[in-house]
Amino acid sequence: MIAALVLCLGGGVPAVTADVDAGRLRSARVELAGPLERVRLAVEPMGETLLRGPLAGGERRTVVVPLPTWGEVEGLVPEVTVDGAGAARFLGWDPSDARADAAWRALPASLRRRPRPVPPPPSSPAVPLAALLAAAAALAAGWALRGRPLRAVGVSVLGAVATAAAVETARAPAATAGIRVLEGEGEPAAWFAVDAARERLVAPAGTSTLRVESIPERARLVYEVRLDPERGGGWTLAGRGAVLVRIAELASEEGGPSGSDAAPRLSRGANELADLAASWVRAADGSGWRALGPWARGTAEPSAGGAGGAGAAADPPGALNPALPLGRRVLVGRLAPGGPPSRPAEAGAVWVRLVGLD
Amino acid sequence: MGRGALAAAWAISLLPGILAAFGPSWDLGVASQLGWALVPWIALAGLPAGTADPGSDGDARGVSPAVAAALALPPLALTAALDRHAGLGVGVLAATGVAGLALVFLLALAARRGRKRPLAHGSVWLGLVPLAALAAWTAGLSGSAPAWLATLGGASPLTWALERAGDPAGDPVGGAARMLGPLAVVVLCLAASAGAPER
Repeated sequence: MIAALVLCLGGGVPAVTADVDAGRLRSARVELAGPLERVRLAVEPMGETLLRGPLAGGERRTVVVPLPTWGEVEGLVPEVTVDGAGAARFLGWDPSDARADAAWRALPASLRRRPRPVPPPPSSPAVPLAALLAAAAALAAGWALRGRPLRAVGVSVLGAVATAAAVETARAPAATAGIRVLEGEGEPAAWFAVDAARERLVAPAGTSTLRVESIPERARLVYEVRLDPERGGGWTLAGRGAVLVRIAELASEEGGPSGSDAAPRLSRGANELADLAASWVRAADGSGWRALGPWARGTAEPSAGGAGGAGAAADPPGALNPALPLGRRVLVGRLAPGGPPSRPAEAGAVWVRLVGLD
Repeated sequence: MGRGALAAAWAISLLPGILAAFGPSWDLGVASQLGWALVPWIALAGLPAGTADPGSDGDARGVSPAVAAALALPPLALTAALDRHAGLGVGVLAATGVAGLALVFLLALAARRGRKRPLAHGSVWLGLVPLAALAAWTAGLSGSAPAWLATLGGASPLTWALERAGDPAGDPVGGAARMLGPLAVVVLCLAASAGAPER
């Protein structure tokens, strides 16, 4: 659905109606005529999409690009503004989302409804204390020096630099920290990958996205992508105060354990997914978790408390241990660094959560 | 700007970020903290400073326009950095910051000069800055604002700052044409403050 930016040609496009259970992005068809530096398509208060150019003069394109929305999109017409002498025109909502919606609905309902992973909380408050102190000190010093304007201005400029630096230092880790969970269910398992991050989610070029969600569901989002994929074909999604969730089909993104389209198998008899640095299982009756320790790829399920498992926590992290369904064995594991499947650098830790480890 | 106005502008400009630190329920839903930070500085920089004190340049009670704009820099830098982490473009933030600082400086300059003509400056400032913004906002709520009121309200520097707070990326760089109204209001404030002292 959201393969970064889909270029296509075509005529009129019928409007489509998004299911209320649709994700946060719906595809719109837009006609562009250069020269353009930037195009903004806004559907307020849902959000906006920014297309970064440049698009050369005389160049014309019809592009299909996602817009942040919620609920039904029929009748919605985004406000289009351009930066440049060219023009942009909204042609209509693209029906290509229907395929992704069908693929989404084909997944087991319990897998689709599984609580989304929660990324680590920010390591700093919205306004870092150090930045506040620097700004306050600059105000006090500037006031004290108000009779000497040049010195007051100098102190204020220094204070501004220190304040911005304090924000930069405090918020850099929090802005990029995220979590990736490979969610599976059944045997053979149906899988998808979930990337969750706070406020900013980056999807590298070439990745295929099945669905995007936000928590809260009606957070205002800003989707940004370059018109020229050679200058960075990935996209960025931002939402103040929101947890942003991207769901991708595991098989298409990771290519399976041997590069095939087959979903990786993970059962008691064999782990074909990846090396797990730590793992836990929960019995089908929900009677508590057991730490298994590391589980190497290509081996059978280790015995509980095996080598390397003695020092592990008795339970997996609470964020990955919500009310998972009873009646099936559940596995939660943390992938060993550097092992397959590959992941975006921004994703942070990678976990696997499988319901139905039989 | 006086001591009280400075302290108030400083505190109000950082309010959304400070409240957000207490959790999501305190989130004021401000799209651009920089845009929000400019609102109190623009509102208070032009506040009529009262009658002139013969023999005094006023530094005992307040700061010069240049210093007032400079003192706004740290909170603006702080909020711009927060906006940058939230995904707003550096170009948009820089344009908003520079334009906002210019408005703060010019409004403070008009207020300082207006001490000699408090009635003229005070009337123009009150009508074209806070009241115009308030009237346009109130009429906008009812959805039936006449065109002249929308134009007048849109020209208020306060309306411009509030637009930046709510829709920071809209109309790229705020649109140079979008600045014409606020600049015209500032010029009128400066014109009203110029001339011989009122009796």
